[in-house]
Amino acid sequence: MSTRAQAVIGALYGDEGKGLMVDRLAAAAPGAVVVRSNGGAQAGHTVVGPAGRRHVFHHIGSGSFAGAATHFSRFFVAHPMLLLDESAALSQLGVKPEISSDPRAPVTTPFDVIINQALELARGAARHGSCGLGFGETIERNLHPEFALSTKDLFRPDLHTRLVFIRDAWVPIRLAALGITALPAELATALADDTTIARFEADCAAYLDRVTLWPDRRLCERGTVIFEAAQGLGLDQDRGAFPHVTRSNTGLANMLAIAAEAGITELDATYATRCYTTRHGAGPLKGEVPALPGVNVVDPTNAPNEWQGRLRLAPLDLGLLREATTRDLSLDRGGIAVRAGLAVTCLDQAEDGFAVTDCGEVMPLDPAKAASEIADLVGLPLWAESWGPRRGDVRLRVDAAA
Amino acid sequence: MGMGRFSTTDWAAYNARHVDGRSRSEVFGATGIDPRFDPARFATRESRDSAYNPQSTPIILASDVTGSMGMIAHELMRGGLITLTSEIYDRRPVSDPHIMVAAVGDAYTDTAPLQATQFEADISLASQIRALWLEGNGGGNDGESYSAAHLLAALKTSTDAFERRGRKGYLFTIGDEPVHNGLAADQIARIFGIEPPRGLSARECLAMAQRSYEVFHIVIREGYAAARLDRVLASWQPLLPGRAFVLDDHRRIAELVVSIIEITEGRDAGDVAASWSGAAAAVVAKAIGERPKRRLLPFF
Repeated sequence: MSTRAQAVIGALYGDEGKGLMVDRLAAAAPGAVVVRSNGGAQAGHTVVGPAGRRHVFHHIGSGSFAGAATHFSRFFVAHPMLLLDESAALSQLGVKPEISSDPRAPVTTPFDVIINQALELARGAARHGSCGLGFGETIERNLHPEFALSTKDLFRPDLHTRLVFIRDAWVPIRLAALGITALPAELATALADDTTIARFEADCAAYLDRVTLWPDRRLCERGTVIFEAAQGLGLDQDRGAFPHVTRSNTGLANMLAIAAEAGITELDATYATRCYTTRHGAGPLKGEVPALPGVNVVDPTNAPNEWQGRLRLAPLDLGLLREATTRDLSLDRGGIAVRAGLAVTCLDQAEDGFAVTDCGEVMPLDPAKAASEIADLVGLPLWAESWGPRRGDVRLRVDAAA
Repeated sequence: MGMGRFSTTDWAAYNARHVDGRSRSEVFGATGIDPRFDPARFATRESRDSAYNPQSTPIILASDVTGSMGMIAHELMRGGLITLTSEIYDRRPVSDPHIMVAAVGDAYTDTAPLQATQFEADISLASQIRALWLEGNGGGNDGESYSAAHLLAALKTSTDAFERRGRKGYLFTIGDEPVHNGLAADQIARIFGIEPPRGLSARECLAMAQRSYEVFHIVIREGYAAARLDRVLASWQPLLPGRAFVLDDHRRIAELVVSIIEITEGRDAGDVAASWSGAAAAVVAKAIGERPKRRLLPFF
């Protein structure tokens, strides 16, 4: 029996419109489950509902407005300090998604957040572009079995002891390794305060009330699977420009691993890109310009913040896009049939004078035809184009997987 | 893509705010019996062989959740039993464990004297356990209706292990009180949704369960049993000679249950106790050490 799943992958540095595409696909597949295949609460996928309600999805899958359930895979980093706030915010919008998690999903503790923030502060102007939420630090700590904490450990009666051990044994080791000798006052206070652990334990208990433990292996029992990748191929830990990368695989790799466990045999992968390039946070950005001619950039999600600065801009580079998607599609697929297509978003923001580049060559495009020309030049079929922030603004192509 | 909501100055706010006040509306502690878990409403709980679990072994863990257990009931249902089920799934003391968790109360005084999850082969059981209602009642009547768990196994489960392969499952009851002497006809009718011709004694309920389950009881030495252990044992030992254990530290329930299963499956008791680390080894050794110096083999 063949089991088909969908996937939405960011082709470059994030902010490509993954939330919009997941929402669109979920609306077309009632009873779907959106699977977070990498990243954690530091993701921010914006969805604007048909009635104008808007939410930036961090933990929860972007298909929630369309009624999809959410599943955290074993590669997803759980953040109990933040889930309930997001849950409450969604609940105010009348959305209450079912959430499940693989028991192996790693868990961020307050101490990972503290170390992350201390490190980024210590770097000053040379920041890596971290969100300050402890994602990379969680991965780092979980490489050490004695300090690891995964979702199933939240049930264990010795949770408190483990947290104290992480604080007292891991934090000094890690800070020393990072060359941090003194913490800023707020962080030092939070680290020393026992209340931090007490609050976190309460958050964990509430987290477990909200999230059903469910193994990746049984994913297909929850509904039609839609993988939602976080960040983009340009930030992949193995492909991006170190150190300005995220500590996860942002493309097919994790999805294929989960699909193999879950018995999924066919995967339709939509690579999403804006019709221009953005980058949030530090790191190289080819062809970066202060302002893009012919593009009226609209992005209420990426307001400047203390940790990542403002949104950076460049024309879409087809060479980079081609290289990134080709490389992702060259992964060993372990017998899973993968079809790939392109989704080009934010076309409504392009005007006359809008251009893309291909290996240095500037190519002016007519916005109305841009999506199919970009897809042709990248060598992928065009599966979708979007002309606005809502799912009704997405045009799916007839030959698309859906 | 990013979010940066948590800044250094947010720490004071994080530590000042109380999760209960903030988000309990988001938290679904059960406030009544969930009809999914009501034995009067389901016909049978099935434990079936499958491609993943070709040699399934049903295990029922039935814990007292009444008020005398106090915070222990809460801790057991929120953490201890989930740790226990994880330990069983990981350590596999029997082939392909299928676990059901039941919450036992008092048929004389409780609204929900018995609740039972499905049999599950993996950790997805955890959320069902957390959805069981901790009524926290139970009467001051020197006993709980543990017999309801025995009758549940006998009347409301159907297992491939026994029906197809003639293998018994495991049934553990866990609690701090003596066992009431069975169930009256009207209690059976209310709990199980059937019309019995008469009531059944504790021994009759147990005997019915023992046809297809190896049955054990664990006395948690807290609550009622902390002060009146003799009365508790006087109630249990005649029913389950050699199969009623006393556990000093309820946080070691996982190690004890897995040990009992492993010993019953033929492993050496000393080896099993020693296989746990640190404090657990001593607690388990004490709990199983008062056994005769022979292996506990299946009786049937």
